[in-house]
Amino acid sequence: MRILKRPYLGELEMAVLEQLWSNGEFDAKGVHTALGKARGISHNTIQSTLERLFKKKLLARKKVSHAYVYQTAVARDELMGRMIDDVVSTISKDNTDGMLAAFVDIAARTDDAHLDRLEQLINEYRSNHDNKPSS
Amino acid sequence: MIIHFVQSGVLAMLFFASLAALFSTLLYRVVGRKLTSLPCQMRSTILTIWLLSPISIAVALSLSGVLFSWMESHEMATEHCISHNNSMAHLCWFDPVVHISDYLWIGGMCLMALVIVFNAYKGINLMLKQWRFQSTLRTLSEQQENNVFRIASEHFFVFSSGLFSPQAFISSQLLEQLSAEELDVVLAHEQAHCQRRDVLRRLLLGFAGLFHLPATRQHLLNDSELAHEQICDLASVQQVENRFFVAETIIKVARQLQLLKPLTKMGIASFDDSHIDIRIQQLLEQPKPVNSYMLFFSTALLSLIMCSALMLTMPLHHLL
Repeated sequence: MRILKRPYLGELEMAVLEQLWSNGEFDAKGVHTALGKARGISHNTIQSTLERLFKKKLLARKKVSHAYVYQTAVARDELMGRMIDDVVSTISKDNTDGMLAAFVDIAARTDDAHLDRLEQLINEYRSNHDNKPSS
Repeated sequence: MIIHFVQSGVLAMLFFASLAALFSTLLYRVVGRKLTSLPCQMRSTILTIWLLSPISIAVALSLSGVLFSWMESHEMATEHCISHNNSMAHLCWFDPVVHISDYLWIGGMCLMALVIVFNAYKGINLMLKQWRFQSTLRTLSEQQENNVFRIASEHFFVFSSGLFSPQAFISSQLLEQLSAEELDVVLAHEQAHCQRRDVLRRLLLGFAGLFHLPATRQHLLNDSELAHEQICDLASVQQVENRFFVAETIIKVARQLQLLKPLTKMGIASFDDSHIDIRIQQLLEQPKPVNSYMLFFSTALLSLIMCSALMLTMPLHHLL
C-alpha cells in the first residue's frame, strides 16, 4: 500500500496514530474511550479522524461484526523519517516561498575554499584588532 | 459618477504606478549596490519604503489629481469640472476620461482584476503551505526552551518559521556539533527573526512590491532579506559581545550545511547567491557613523519632493 506523498497530520490525527502504535488494533469506540473522553471529543470526531487517516493510507482496517477495526499501516519511524525528509527537502529548495528564515541560507551553499578565505579574513581582522593599542 | 471615479482612479493609479516602477528600476541601477554600505537597520527601512513606493505614489498622485473633483463635490471650489467640456481630458469623477475608449479601460480593469485574483490565490496557497509546513514541524519537534524546538534528525539545519507566532527549529545533529556559546549565537539570531516576525514581514513586502517590475522587485526583496539577516546578526553580537565569534559561527554552520544529505535536491553552490560574504564583512568592520549631513539632506529632499507633488495637483488633474 502506497502512502500519500505528504501526509499532513493534525494534533488529533497524530494522537490517534500514537495510540494505535502503542496499543495495536482498535475500533472507533476503543479509540474514543482511550482518547476522546479525556479530551472531550465526540465519537463522530474520532470516527472521521480514523476515516481521514485511512484515506491518507496511514491506517488499515478490517470489518469485524458491524464495526471497522483499525491498525497502523506504517511504522512510526518510517512515517517520521518521511516527514523529516519532507522538511529537509522544503528547506533545501532554492525558493522556499519565504516560508522560513535560516541562520545560513541552506540552498545557497558555498564551497570549502571560499569559506577558508572568509575564515582567513576573520583571523586577519582579529589579529589587527588584538594588536591595536587600546586608547 | 462612481463608475467615472473608478475609471479615472484606476487608470490614474496604473499610470502613476507604472511611472514609479520605471523610475524605481532606473534608480536601482544607480544606487542599488551603494545601499549595502548603509547600516542594516537604515537599509531595511529604506528598502521597505522603496518596495512600497509604486503603490503609495500611485495612490497619493491619483488622489491629488482628483482633488478638484472632490473639492467641487463638497462645494469648496468654483465650478471647475463643469467648466470642462468633453473635449478636454481631465482626471475627474464627474466626466469620463474622454480620449480612452470603453473597451480599453474595461480591458485594463479586467487585467488588473486578474492580477489581483491571481496574487490573492497565490497568497492563500502560500498561507496554506505555511500552515501545513508548521503542522509537520510541530508533529516532529519537541520544545527545547522558550520558542526553540528540536527536531531529531541526522541533517544539519536551523531556521525559524511561522507567520504570526514564529518559532525556531534546530536539528539534533546541529545541536550536538555546536558549543554552548555557538548555540547562543545561533539561537539569538533565530530568536531575533521570531521577535521581528521576519517571515510575515517578507510575505507582506512581497505583496507590497507587486507593482515593481519583476526583476527590480526580486533585487529589492533580496536586499531586504540580507538587511534582515544582518539585523539578526547584530542581535547575536549583542548576546555574546564578540563580532568575530559570530562571524566564525556563521562559517562553522555554513561548513556543516555542506554535509546536508539530500544532495540531488540541492541548488548548485554559488558565491553570488549567498549573503555570507556581506554579512561577514559587516561583522568584521567597525560600524561607520551615519553622515548626519547626508541624512539631513536626504530627508529635506524627500520632503521637498512630497511638497512639490502637492503643487502638481493641477497638471496631474489634466494629465490623463
